[in-house]
Amino acid sequence: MKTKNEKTKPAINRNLALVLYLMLGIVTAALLVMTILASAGVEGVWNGMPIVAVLSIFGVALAVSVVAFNPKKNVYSIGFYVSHIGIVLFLIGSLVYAVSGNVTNAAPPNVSSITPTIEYQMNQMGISADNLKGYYNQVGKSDGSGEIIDLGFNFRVADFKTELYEDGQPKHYEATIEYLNPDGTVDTEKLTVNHPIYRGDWKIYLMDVGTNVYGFQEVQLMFKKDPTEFLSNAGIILILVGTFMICFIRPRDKAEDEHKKKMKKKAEKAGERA
Amino acid sequence: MTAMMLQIGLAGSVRHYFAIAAALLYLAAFATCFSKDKLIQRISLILWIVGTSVNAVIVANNWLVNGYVPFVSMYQVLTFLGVTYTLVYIYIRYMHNGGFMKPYFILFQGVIMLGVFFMGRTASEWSFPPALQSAYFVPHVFSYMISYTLVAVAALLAVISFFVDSREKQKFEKGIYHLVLTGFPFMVLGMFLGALWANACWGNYWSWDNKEVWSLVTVLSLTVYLHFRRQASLSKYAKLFVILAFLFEIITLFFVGMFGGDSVHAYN
Repeated sequence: MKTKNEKTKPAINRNLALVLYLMLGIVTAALLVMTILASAGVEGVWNGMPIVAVLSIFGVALAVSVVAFNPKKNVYSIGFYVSHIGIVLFLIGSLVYAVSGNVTNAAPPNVSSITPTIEYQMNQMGISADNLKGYYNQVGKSDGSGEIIDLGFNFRVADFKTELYEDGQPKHYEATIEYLNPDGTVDTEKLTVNHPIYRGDWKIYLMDVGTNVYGFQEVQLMFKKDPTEFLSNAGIILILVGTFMICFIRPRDKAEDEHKKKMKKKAEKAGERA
Repeated sequence: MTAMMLQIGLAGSVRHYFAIAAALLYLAAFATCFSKDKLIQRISLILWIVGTSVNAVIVANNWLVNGYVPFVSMYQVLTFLGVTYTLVYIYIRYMHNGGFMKPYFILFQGVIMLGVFFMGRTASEWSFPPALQSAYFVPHVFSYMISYTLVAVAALLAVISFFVDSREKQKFEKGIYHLVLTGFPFMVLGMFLGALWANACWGNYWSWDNKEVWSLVTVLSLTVYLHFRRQASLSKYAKLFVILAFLFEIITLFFVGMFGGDSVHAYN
């Protein structure tokens, strides 16, 4: 049996709540200032210490609110935990990716676009077209560090299809990726925009296509390794589920309930007097 | 007749007249809906229904002519937004007893369709680029539409609530709360569906793009409202954040897209 004090105990200690809400206000104000600066063209707003500090304050406020929360047996309490823990997971996922993730771009040739004419012209210039048409197992890191990344598999772009609208705007891009297995067999996979493919630890994205100075197509690919992607995705799902629980399945507006109670008491008093 | 016109697609000038007709019908419905005379109220309702129908015809035309859900250009989004106001009002009316908010929903519809009218006659047809061909596209945009609709009306109520008597004020503040409570989860849904989509398309949940950060600030403003409202000493400042959220929403929707420089979300 709960005592009256336990029943009326606030979800979070009022003074602590005041501090946490003010922290939320400060985070919002700081992000607003940074957003205005970034929109005005100031460079590096999102790369420096200020954004780390703002996200840290946000993370600390969230963690404290989760620890200090006094749960009750209702949907609101569950929704509170689900949504707030979801944000914490998403932030941890993003932080771990920033520290240990790997991303790089590469522009391998579309092998089918290297025609005999292009091949002949390149050979005349002393460039081996056969090398370009071969399989790749390494890509250079695109951050300018010169680091070479070993992908752990052999691939090449065997073909690339482009569909256009009547006005010349792109309608559909599709790359055919070929993998050369250690036993000499070849696997093929279709890669389209919005539908990355997985190979080993890597996720491969189709970003763009272009024609280089020799006349053959170069396909812009992105290779990404994110060991905590599941954590970020889980965080997002929890945030969404928790937010909808809090906002849609909550009992009723507190103020509305209090107002109804007051009205009921007034009516009772009036009845007694009568 | 309408079906035939839809099959061939409304000509630019006809669509243009439909837009101004919808705007005028909405504004006439707004002007008449405050009347206490039952006949005028009924006329107002009819004007509103006809206005929504005319608006819906433009949406259907955009959909049929382009062959995809018309959410690609600003013109298409605003035209759809006009109809969204009616759908969202029906929900608020029956779930939150928000009948008194009807004029404010209609006012926004009128203003939006006036904007559509001034956007030009050839704004309807757009190609559908590969980056937008995603399962996230429609729910992402539609979630934002629902939330933008609710936040716009909530902000208007917040402004009006400064000028009404205490009894009306209580009604308005309850209305604002219900609107935000309904709109907030959709705004969060829109933002995180966008993040999942960005991860599928560009390999990043978040890239600190101008449009992304303005929408984040909008979500945070509503978060501040919902939290401040719970604390007695802060609750008097809470509704200011709804007004701010609406201002940020306008910046996110119009100004970043149009003048956002290298924003990946820029409308061409």
